[in-house]
Amino acid sequence: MTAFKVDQFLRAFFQANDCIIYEHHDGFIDVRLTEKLDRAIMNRPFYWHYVKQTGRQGEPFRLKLITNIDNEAKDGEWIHVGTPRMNEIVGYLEENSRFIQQFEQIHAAKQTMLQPWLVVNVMITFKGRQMRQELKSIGVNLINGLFLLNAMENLEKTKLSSFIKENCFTISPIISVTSGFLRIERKLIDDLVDMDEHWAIESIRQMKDELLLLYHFYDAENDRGKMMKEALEIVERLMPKIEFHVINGGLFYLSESWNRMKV
Amino acid sequence: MSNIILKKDERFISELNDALKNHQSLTNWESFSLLYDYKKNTAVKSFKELQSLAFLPHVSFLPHQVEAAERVINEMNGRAILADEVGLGKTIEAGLILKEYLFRNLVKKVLILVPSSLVNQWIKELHEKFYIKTASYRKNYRWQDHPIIVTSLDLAKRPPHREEILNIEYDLVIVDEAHRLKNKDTLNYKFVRALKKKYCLLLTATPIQNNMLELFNLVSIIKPGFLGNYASFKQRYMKADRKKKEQLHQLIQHVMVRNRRKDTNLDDVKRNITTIWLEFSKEEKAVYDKLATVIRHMPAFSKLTYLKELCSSREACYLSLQKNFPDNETEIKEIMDAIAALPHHTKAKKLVELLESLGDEKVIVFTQYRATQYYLQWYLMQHDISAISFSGGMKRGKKDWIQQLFKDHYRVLIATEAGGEGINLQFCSHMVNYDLPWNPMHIEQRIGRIHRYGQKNDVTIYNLAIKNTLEEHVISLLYQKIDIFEKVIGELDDILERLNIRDFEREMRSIIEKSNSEGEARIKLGNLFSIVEDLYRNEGVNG
Repeated sequence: MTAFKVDQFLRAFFQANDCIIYEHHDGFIDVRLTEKLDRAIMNRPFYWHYVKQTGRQGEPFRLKLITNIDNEAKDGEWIHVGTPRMNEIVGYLEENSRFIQQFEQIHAAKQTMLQPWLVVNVMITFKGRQMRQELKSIGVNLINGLFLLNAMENLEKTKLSSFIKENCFTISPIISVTSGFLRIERKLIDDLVDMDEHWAIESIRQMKDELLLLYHFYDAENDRGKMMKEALEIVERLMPKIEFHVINGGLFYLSESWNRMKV
Repeated sequence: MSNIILKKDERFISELNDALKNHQSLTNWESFSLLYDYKKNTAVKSFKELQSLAFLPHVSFLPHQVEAAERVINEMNGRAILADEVGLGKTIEAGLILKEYLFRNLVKKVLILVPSSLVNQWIKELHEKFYIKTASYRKNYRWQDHPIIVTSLDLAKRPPHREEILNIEYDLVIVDEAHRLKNKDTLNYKFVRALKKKYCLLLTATPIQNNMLELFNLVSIIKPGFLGNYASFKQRYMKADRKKKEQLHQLIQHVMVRNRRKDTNLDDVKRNITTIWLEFSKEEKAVYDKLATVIRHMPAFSKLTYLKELCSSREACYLSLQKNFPDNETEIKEIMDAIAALPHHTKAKKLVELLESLGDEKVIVFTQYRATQYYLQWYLMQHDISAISFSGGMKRGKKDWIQQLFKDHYRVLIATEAGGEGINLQFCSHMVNYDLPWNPMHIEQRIGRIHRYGQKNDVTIYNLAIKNTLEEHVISLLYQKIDIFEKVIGELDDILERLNIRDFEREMRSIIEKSNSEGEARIKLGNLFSIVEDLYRNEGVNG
């Protein structure tokens, strides 16, 4: 896995949120926030309250962030994963980037039909003694039910916009968004059948061991209530679980060529 | 599959439908794919991975460190005793756990309690290795103000800080050198116990230094009631058979991570130990014998103390006689004069010789006595060897400064016992035990200063000992018979615990005090060591 680059992530984030970037180079970023972002991540409600009350425009914060330990001498705020500011930023991104509707941008001389696809990005978490995650990006054509795997990786190569291009038109889904979602869910569950269950078996074995030990420890003491509480905690922690969490998703209107994508 | 619980996302689809219908909360492609990329990067890809590792590519963690952090987070719910042997990187493990919790946004408010000599080092290490910014406590500063504070237990437990700190709800409390919390009646213990904390890490290299009740006390901070209550624990385990102890051992595994040197590849760094035998000069020997006669009626233990001191330096012995006999009894006065008239100490001369033979290598010299420390610093200066002193009473800032000075400008660091705790000198691989403590734990602490995580060279340790004196007994009994230098300290711990010996040093003292002659003491000590030796051998066969 390539190392995650904090400063590249930050630049992309500020750009996506229409901020002005004054300076960005090796481990230093100087950016003027938008009002919306300022309100979301800077935690200074009184400033905005005061500004609005006096009928002024207000000036969003100019944020200088340091991401490289060698730049410490510079005037700015240290940021890395886990710092409060970074957690605010990621939280903002999670909260505000969940839903989308996009149209493929193709130059069309004549009227061109775009078909609706539901694309969802699902984090699957396997939780037992230890934890593992898989991020699945999967799409379903809401006309014919075709699946598209690695949807995001494929979409990245496509020109997209929130607005439909001239000469293009959309057709209404035959499969509803909700049914499409259930189909995707079904597919994800079906795919799990082939998974290696070793982790779950291990976890159940450890759960049994720990429960036995617990009974042993308490056998002489009349503390049933406390024992039950601890037993439940063990089950909660070690009973193998698979969790689906949708990171984000939405509708993509795509040209017919997408039906021929290999899945 | 039948045993696995499946939890679907029940929320998303209705919210998506709303967003599409009202054309609200729709994002742009850049943000949408940025979140996807971020999640893809931070997903825990294999069962053996912490999320924050991907963000710390500049640190090469050892496998046992990552595993320890994983176990604490995944299996122990963030409440654990980190009990690796000295030098395996407990701080690294704690830092990794902290980083992971910060990253998962499970932890915001953190209190890190460490010996005052370690405060700056913790701050530095957390910043450089984990990119975590922390603050140390300053005057005119409120405890609430900074999210992550590193401070000393001694400061925190005193009013007015105490009250303020006890009012704060901490997400994580880390206590370094937590063996200071083993006695439940102390202020330290009560204070840490009373802290409001969601997660809690106790770091100690010697968790069972004395006995099971102390371990019970530590566990009670992490998980009150986990080992039952004090009385029932005492009843069940203090005189427990092997089977019960085995059960207890299993239970402890759920709250304690203990890596041993032998299980890690840190063993690649070898310890070379040389004991250099010296003989007192004629004058010295005469004074030593005379001292032994003069003090023969004193209690055995103080008798031994003076003799030990004379084996270290004239100054140590002289000053302690002067302190204890201010009235100047004639006999004492005479021996003090004789001590004062002695030439330079045999050991000091040998030390200079040794240092000269080592070329430019940095060397740390340990002594038990402040007087010896001052003497040596002066004596080495006379021979153009740059030396700097380091001792327990120094303020934190001064300690850091001296550590840095040693690294950059000095060849020799002369440290006393108390100064040993909490300095890390991986850049130095030579150590001299100028005199030897009787407690093997102290020796391990000393060696741990240089034989630790980060040490790249083999470690060389020289013991200076004088023949036909007390030191010969100490060396031959303690260090050759038990072979303390080769053994892993944890093993010794276990064995003493099984012998029901609470405190090795106290045990030795009491043997010496109760013996009528030196010969008797030697025989009794010999017996004690034989038992320990046997246990080692058995361990070796069974384990």
